Amino acid sequence: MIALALALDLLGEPTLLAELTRARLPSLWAALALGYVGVGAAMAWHLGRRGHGLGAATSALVCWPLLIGLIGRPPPPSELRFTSPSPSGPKRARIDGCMAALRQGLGEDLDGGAELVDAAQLAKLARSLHRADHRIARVDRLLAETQAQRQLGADAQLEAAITGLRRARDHANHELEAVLSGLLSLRVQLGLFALAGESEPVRERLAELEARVAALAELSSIELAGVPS
Amino acid sequence: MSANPTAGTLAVVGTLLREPELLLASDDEAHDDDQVRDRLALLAPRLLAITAAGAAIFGLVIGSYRGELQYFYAALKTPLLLLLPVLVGLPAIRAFHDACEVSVSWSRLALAALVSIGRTAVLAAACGPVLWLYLSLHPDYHRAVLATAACLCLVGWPGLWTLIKSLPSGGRHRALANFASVAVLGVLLAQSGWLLRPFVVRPQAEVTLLREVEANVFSSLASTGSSARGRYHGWEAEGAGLLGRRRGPAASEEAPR
Repeated sequence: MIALALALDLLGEPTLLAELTRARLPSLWAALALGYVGVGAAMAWHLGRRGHGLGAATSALVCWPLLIGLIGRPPPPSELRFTSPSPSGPKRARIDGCMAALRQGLGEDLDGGAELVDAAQLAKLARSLHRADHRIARVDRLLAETQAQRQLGADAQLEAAITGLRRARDHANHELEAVLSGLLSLRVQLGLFALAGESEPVRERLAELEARVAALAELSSIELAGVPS
Repeated sequence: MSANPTAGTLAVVGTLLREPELLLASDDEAHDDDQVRDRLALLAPRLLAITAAGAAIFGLVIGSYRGELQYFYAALKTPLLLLLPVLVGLPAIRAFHDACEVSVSWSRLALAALVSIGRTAVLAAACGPVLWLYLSLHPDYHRAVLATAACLCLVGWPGLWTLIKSLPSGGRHRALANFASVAVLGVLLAQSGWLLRPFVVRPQAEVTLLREVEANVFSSLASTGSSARGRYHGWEAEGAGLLGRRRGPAASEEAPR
């Protein structure tokens, strides 16, 4: 694009323009516009052939450079639904950091790392971790609110419920910390994989961590169900 | 967007104003390029329609200073004013971020750019009545130009901020890449406005779709500023190439022939 801009500037020189005019070339602006619209029309035709809607095809006609990523892709499967960002808690930055390090490790240490661990698999793991973190944050808020109310009057049943909830929270927090440590050790394993060329330990370790996060969600619900109401 | 999350165009307008990040892929989805492309395919037509409509409304308001055909011309050119800098500057923005170790896919960048100009256009349309009120007071031509430029700056910053926030985090020199991106887009926006002028036409001037390229946007803003302060001496539009290059004396002599 910068080269194009410089070329245009050069063509804007009066002598060059005069030479071009003498050679009976079409106007520069007209040629550029026709070229742009021609590429846009070709892309619109391509998107139409792939089954994209009229809107996408028309958009390609107007600003095809933005839609280059859609070349060769089928139309999106369903109507878009906006969802709020994934819930998160106080460990959001740490979880994101761990996942980013893991993604970076996959990119650096492995040839074809994306095939070893699927990006969607990592995204799912990250979502599960954020949900677990979010649950812990909610319990923390609940405990803080209950603490304030407890000062108004003591109740044995309430005390038992708080103790149970706190135990469940501590357990979930401990498990989450363990999974985050596991992710960091997985990052180290990726380095070992780069040396030894064995991918199976990495896959096994990741599957183990996924199972642990899934169990964390189940355990939380069981333990919370056991808290006296 | 919890009550009715289906992405109708009006819902997209509301989301652009309230939570533009909902239109973009979340951090989890952002690493899955397929999801980003699906979002781009679904949202691009709507965002472009919103940009065209919002910018056209703002253009109508600018055209109201002169009236007549300028209503139509300004409404036609203002959407281009927002789209051109993005179309030209996006490769540079991607290069800046790559150089600063922030990896961003083309589709994600395109989606972020469309969201940011869509937001700018909606905000510009929202600013329209205020500018219209001012222009209806028949201010001096130079003051009208400055008011229009100020309005565009005002609505441009939230758009640029949306673009910057939409790009992935990380990278050691991300701030540098952001600064360079904002600078490039700012200069491109200013020069696009200069190439596509006139938007605000002098009351005594002829209404035309495009004016011949002369000087550049920065010299023009400086002279407009001094003219607005009542100092009219020392400025003439100077002949220039496509990027505002000044003609030498020899070229100036040749031109009439």
